[in-house]
Amino acid sequence: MGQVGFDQGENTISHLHQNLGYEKSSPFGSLLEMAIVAQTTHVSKVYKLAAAEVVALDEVNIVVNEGDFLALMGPSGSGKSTLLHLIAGIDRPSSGTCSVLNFNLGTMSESELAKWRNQYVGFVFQSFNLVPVLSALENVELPLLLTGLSSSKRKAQAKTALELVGLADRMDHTPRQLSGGQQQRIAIARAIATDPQLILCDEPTGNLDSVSADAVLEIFHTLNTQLGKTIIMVTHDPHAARAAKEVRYLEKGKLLPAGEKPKDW
Amino acid sequence: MTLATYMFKNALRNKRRTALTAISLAISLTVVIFLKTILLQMTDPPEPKRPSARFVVRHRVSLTMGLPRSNEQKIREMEGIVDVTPMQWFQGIYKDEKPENWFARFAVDPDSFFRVYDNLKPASEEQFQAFRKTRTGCLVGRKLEERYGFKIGDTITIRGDIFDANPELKVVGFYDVTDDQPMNDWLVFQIKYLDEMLGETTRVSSFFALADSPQRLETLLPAIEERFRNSDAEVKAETEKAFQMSFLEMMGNVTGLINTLVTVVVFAVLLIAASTMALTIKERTREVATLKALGFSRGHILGLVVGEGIIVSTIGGLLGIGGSYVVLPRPGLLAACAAGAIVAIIIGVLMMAISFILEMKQDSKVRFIASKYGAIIAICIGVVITGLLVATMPTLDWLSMSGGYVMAMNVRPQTGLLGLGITVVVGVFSSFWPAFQASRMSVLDGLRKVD
Amino acid sequence: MPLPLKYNVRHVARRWKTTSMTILAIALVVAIFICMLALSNGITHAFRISGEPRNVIVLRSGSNAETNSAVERTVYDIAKVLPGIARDKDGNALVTAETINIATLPKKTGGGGNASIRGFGPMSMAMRPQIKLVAGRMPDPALHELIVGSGAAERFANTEIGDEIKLVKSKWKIVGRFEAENSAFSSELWGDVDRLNLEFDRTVYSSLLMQADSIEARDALIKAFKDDQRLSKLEGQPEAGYYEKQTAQTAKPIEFLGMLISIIMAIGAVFAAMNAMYASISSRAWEISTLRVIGFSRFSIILSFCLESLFVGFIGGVIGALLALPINGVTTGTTSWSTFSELAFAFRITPSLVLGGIVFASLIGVIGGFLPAIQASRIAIVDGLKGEG
Ligand SMILES: Nc1ncnc2c1ncn2[C@@H]1O[C@H](COP(=O)(O)OP(=O)(O)OP(=O)(O)O)[C@@H](O)[C@H]1O
Ligand SMILES: [Mg+2]
Repeated sequence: MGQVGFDQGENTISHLHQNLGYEKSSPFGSLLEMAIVAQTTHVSKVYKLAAAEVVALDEVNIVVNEGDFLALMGPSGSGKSTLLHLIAGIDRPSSGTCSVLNFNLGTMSESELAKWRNQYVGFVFQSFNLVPVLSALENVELPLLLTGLSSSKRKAQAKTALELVGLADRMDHTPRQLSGGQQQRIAIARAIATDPQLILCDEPTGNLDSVSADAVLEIFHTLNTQLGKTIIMVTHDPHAARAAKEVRYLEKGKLLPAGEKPKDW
Repeated sequence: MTLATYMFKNALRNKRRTALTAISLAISLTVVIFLKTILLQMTDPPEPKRPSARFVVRHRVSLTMGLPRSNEQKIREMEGIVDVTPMQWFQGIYKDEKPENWFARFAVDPDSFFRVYDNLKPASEEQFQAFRKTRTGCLVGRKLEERYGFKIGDTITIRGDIFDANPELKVVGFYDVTDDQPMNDWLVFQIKYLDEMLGETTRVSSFFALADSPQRLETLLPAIEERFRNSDAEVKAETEKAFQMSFLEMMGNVTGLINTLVTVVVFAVLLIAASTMALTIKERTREVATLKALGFSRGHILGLVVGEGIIVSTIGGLLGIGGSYVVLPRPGLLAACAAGAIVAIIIGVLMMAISFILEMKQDSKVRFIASKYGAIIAICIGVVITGLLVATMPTLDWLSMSGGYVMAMNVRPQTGLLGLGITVVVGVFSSFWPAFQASRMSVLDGLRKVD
Repeated sequence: MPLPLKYNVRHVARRWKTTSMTILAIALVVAIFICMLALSNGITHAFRISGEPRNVIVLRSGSNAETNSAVERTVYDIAKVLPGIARDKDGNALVTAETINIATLPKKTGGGGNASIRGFGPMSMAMRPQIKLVAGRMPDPALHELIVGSGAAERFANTEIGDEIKLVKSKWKIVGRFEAENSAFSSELWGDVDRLNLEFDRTVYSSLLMQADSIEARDALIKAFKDDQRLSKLEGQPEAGYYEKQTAQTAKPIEFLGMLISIIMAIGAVFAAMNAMYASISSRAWEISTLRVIGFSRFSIILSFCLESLFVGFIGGVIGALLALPINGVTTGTTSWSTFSELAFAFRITPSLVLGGIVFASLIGVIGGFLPAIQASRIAIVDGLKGEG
């Protein structure tokens, strides 16, 4: 994998451990006791269109354990994004239940979900989606604005996150002044700023060249192995999937059993 | 950074758009304040500092009917009367019929006039005596002295229209108004001179009288009307304020007209602001979705967008209200600004034409200057011209240049507050709908949008 | 090669939600414009149709309104035999002496208003073709009777047929109602001139009205009047001109105010249109570049966007005109500053005013679209194709 500005290695990570620990109740009674981070049971998603019904997800059961780095693959339209959105609580299933970090998403209101996402889930998009008028640091600080932390703590935490993605020296730059790879790293810093348990990414390397993609994957790897973050990554790119610990395939809305691939894959 | 910082940065994200919206709000607010100020000035003239005991007696049927002069003595004999003075509205024409040469001209009795109008003071005792003694003498208010530069000894010829008489009057002095009543642009001359010109003791349009206390008027006014009931000239007695208001009432339904205008203007500016807010939020659909994915709730989004709307409207509002406070009370400045704006518009349009022609030829440099900076150049030239006009203001007769329509207007606090209210209303209402829609939009729809 | 207009219409239709707000804002500005001018139009119209082209009105020289003029009784007999005076089919000279009196009457909306009470003679009606008795009968010259104009009837209380109103000394009975095509006369109450003179203690008339055979005869009549030594204190003028002059005082300020507000608001509307066009263009950069690649010239891009903006303005103008239209014919009142009496008139929207409003709106559109159009034409082909920056 590529060699990204991640020089301080261990130092930064222990630093982050100290800094990211702002008061927030753990969703788990005890971290050791409860190992399942996300679980879907008989989850289906059906879109009823005028002409026909589209079954985007069909009875999907998946369990993601703490510390997993799962890559979701499959042909276009197979329901990868849909599944990710259900786990992130930005979409609701037609049937079945999603339980994420011990929360039953189906029973939560939209504002509860928003608050929950802010605290426990980080989301990385294919197209970065940074706010163009804000500096890198401010972009990272954005989710922290909802946490009730003091301004100085917010800043410190955002800086730590930026250090983690190796872009502390670019914190005053606006997204326009950064390359695509750098922008995606800022987006990752934004996703981890609130120190979420679970990180969800939808084709995070889709818009990047291979060098930048490697840098991003390297960061995910570090987040997973050193900080114990659980990561679910939707991707098309087999190279990216290799960074994950486990790969699962979807086909026509069905989750294939572990180790199984679509026929023409 | 705080949420407020983020809101501010959003408001200033598209500077041109924000500027255009703010300026259109500012000028619309100026229009509203202008209209409301005119309305207030007409319907609610400044109250005298202390309650006035002055009142008017006139013919019941109309002012044009006139009362016999002998009534003066009859009124004087009533209980509670301090003094009475006959006043004949002469009207007439000075120079020409243009509105800027219009001011009040009265035929009066010098002694009792200043006793009844105890808030008017001749500039000096000598001038007062000169007024009493000069058959064709007249006194003019300070405002007329300023406007026309009258000096003692000048001759003022008034062409009679109501009366078949053309008095040639000699300025013998000036008078001052000691309170804030709008009486400083009158010309008064001796009623004896009018009688002489007409060859009879004329009837007068009104008697002004002073009671011994304001409270007295309650009983005195009906008593006077009763005193002349069934005489050949029945009268109407009313307070000075009611008398003034009766003229304003004659404007017809001006209040309705102006309030309707104000409402429509506010509605128009609301639409202008709302349309730009809607554009802005629509362009930011993805970003709103991203924020929601990051954990921003509906309430947060609503607050962010409405806050942004209020920031934009506040910029425009402060500009408009501040501008009104500075410009409206100064007719010269107002006229200068108007002239500057007109010049700027003309130059702007010219620039557009030039840039259009150049656009067709391929002279890139000039074209660039003309079209890209055309608006700015036009505004600069407009500002410079405004400045020059303001600088030379004292030497120009703005009042007559504007055809008499421009007058000094003092913006009252309640009008300023109304402006602030409109600012907030425009801010909230223009952004509420887009904010509401953005807050309701699902994250997925927002993310899917490829703009 | 110009772009087809369909292209622009489609785009306007596609972003109809935001565009409709811009359109509505322009529409409101145009509605203000049309309504204010309809107001001043109404006043102008009231005065204009008051004057009969062949009529000559005689006032005391120096006085500029009937209300403060004075004409001796003897003049009537002199005028009757002047050359060029028209005669009715019975051979009566079309000359009449009239008085105008102002009386404060209670208004329907409360308070008092100044009403014009016109004393008229046997020939008065014949000389004013716009006046028609629509209900009741003409007053009996021997009695205290009045007929009331439709405008006055609408504004003053107790003006139904059969009602009585007190003028100076006695009660006067309303016996008829007339319409006068919204002219100034419809705001008046009419009664026999000599009876009214007694009521108002007058010994002289306010004015003398004469009708000439023709327009040329009218001017000759005015000259004859001027040359006659016995009439030196009087002055004749075309009735039409007399009313035209009154227009200036009463309608001009409203017109001025209307224009001022419309123009200022138009600036706001131009800005709104500009914002909309800039936004539309920046979201279409890709498309514009594509058009350029296909081979459309800069000029056709500018033209296309100007037309699109003109289209938006035009629709705004049409909607504004439609919004304003219901006010046409609505009567309202003000004071005629030359007579100090109430003048009822109707908002008057003419086809040319509607057209003017639509042109005004289209101008708002074009001016608002011009700078954005130039910017659109300048989008570099490459930049646009690179996609959103
Ligand atoms: N809003 C919608 N309405 C109708 N059908 C939808 C909607 N959203 C998604 N679908 C359908 O659901 C199916 C799964 O979509 P999804 O976006 O999850 O696919 P994906 O695996 O992420 O594909 P890709 O790799 O192309 O991103 C597709 O067939 C898609 O057409
Ligand atoms: Mg997908």
